[in-house]
Amino acid sequence: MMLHGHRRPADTEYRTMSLARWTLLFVPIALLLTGCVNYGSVDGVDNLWRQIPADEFRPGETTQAEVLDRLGPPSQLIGLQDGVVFYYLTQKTTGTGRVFIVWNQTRERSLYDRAVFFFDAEGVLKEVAYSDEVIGR
Amino acid sequence: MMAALAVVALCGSGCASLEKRFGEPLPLERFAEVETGCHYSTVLQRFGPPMRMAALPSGMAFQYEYVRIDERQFGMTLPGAIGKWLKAVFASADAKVETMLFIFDDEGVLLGADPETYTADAGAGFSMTLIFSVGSLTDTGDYEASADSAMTWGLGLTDPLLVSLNREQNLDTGANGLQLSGTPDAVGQHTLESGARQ
Repeated sequence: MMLHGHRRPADTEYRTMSLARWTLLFVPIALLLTGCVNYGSVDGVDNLWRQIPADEFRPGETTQAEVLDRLGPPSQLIGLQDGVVFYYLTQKTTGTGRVFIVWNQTRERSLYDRAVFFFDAEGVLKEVAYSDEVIGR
Repeated sequence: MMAALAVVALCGSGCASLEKRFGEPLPLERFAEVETGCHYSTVLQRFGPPMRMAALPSGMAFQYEYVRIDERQFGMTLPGAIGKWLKAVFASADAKVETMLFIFDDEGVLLGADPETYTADAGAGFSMTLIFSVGSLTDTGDYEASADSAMTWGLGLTDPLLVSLNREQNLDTGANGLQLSGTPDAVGQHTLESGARQ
């Protein structure tokens, strides 16, 4: 029992030294192994409609030709029974990642900037709407 | 000593959180402002362009959708020498879906509408990886085809034979209807394509 009593301070000191060495070794390695990443992409048509207030497209007056001239080809042409819909879509995806040894995290977000134009059978605008989601130009 | 080893094993394995969001949360609290019988222009003013729309034989349909996928990964260091290089990772994912559907007649009058919010089990996975890595281990593709699905309509020309034969009922063309994200192909209008999509 006395021998154990004599050894305790030495053991404690040894363990403290050992822990300090491991900490000095582990921390730089941990820092070297961590990292982060950012990425992003934009798909779809150029969201030119954000340069033009929606009220500049007047129901009953604006034609398909004028919309095409100002915004270019739509992402979709949807045929209805009594007309056509121009559907414009821009998608932006952004992501971040944090890589640590113990804990890792990635976050990815996709936004959809949209504009839709309803035309009658004569190609005259009936309704127009922009999305609340906006992708900065 | 055992406690230290346990801590090292846990720290050396790590865990991960992967989050994907498609669109913005829907303003479901404004749904009550739209009543059956109103014109589709009212819906457009309240909610903007739909995420998806389709022509129907007697009108059209608007679908708004927001999807958030949360995947959690838990790592575990394997015992023995192999544990120095490989770790086991278990992952599970949930998909939170908010959706609103509006159906209009051929005059553009709202016939019916409904909002819905639900959380679905988006799957689970297991892998063995080198030291550590961060990547999705679950198959959440069904939930990730949100509004951009229309950008890939042309890819329909390269569909497998069973899918091509079922073209008249296809829900991805914008002319035959809509379906919620995550709907399995083994039921409903895609039944005949079951097994053809990989």
